Amino acid sequence: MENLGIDPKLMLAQIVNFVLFFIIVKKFIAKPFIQFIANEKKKEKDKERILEEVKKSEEECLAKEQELKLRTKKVMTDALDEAKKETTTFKSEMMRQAEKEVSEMKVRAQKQLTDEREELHTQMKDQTLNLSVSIVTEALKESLDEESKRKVTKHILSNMPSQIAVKN
Amino acid sequence: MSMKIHGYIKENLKKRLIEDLEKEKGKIVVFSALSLSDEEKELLYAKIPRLKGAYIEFITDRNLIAGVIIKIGSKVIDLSLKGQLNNLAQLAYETNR
Repeated sequence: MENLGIDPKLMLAQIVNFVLFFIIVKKFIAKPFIQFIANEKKKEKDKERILEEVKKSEEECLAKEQELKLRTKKVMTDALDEAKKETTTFKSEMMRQAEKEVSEMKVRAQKQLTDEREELHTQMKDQTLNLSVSIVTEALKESLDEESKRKVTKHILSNMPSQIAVKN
Repeated sequence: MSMKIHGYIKENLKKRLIEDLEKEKGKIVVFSALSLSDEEKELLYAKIPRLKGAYIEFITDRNLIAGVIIKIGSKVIDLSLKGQLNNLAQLAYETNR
C-alpha cells in the first residue's frame, strides 16, 4: 500500500475523521435543517389550507350576497307590486267617491233649481195676486160713487147673519 | 245690559194698563167708508141688538171702500169691502202654498 502511495495511518485517521464528521453533521446540522424544512412545509400547508378556507368563505359570502340581492330584489318587486295594487285600488276608490259626490251634487243642484223655480213661481203668483188686489181696490175706489157704496153697504148689512159671531 | 224698573213703577204701569183695558172693554167703534144713515144704523142694530142704546163711536174711513167694521172692545167684525178683498187675497195666498 505504501508503494501505491497510500498511508494506512493517514487513511484510518481520515476514515475516523469522516465518521466523526458524519456523526456531527447528522446530529447537529442535518437534523435541525430537516426539522426546519418540515416546519416550513407544514407552514406552507397551513397557509394553503387557510387560503382555501378564505376562498371558500369568500365564495360563500358572494353566494350569500347574491342570494341577499335576489331576496332584496324580490321584496322590492313585491312591495312595488303591492304599492301599485294599492294605488290602483285607491285611485278607483277615489274615482268612485268623486263620481258619487258629483252625482249627489248634481241631484242637490237639480233640487235647488227646482225649489228656486217653485219659490220664484210662488213669489210671482203672490206678486200678481197683490197687484190684482191693489188694482181691484183702486178700481173700486175710483169707480164706485157714493150711491153705489151705500148700496153695497146696505147689501152687506142686510145679508149679515143675525147674532153674528164676534171674532178677536 | 238690562234696565231695572222699580217696583212702584211696575205697579203703576200695571194699574194703568188694567184701567185702559177696562175702558176699552166696553167701547164700541164702527168704522165705515161713508157716514152711516139712520136706515143703515137700524139695520145694524137689528142684526146686533147689543149695539142698541150703547154708546157708539162712528168713524169714517174711505179706505174701506164700502161696508163697515165693528169693534167691540178687543173683538172685531170686519164687513168692509176692503176686508173682503183682503180675505180673498189671503185665501188665494193660502191656496198657492
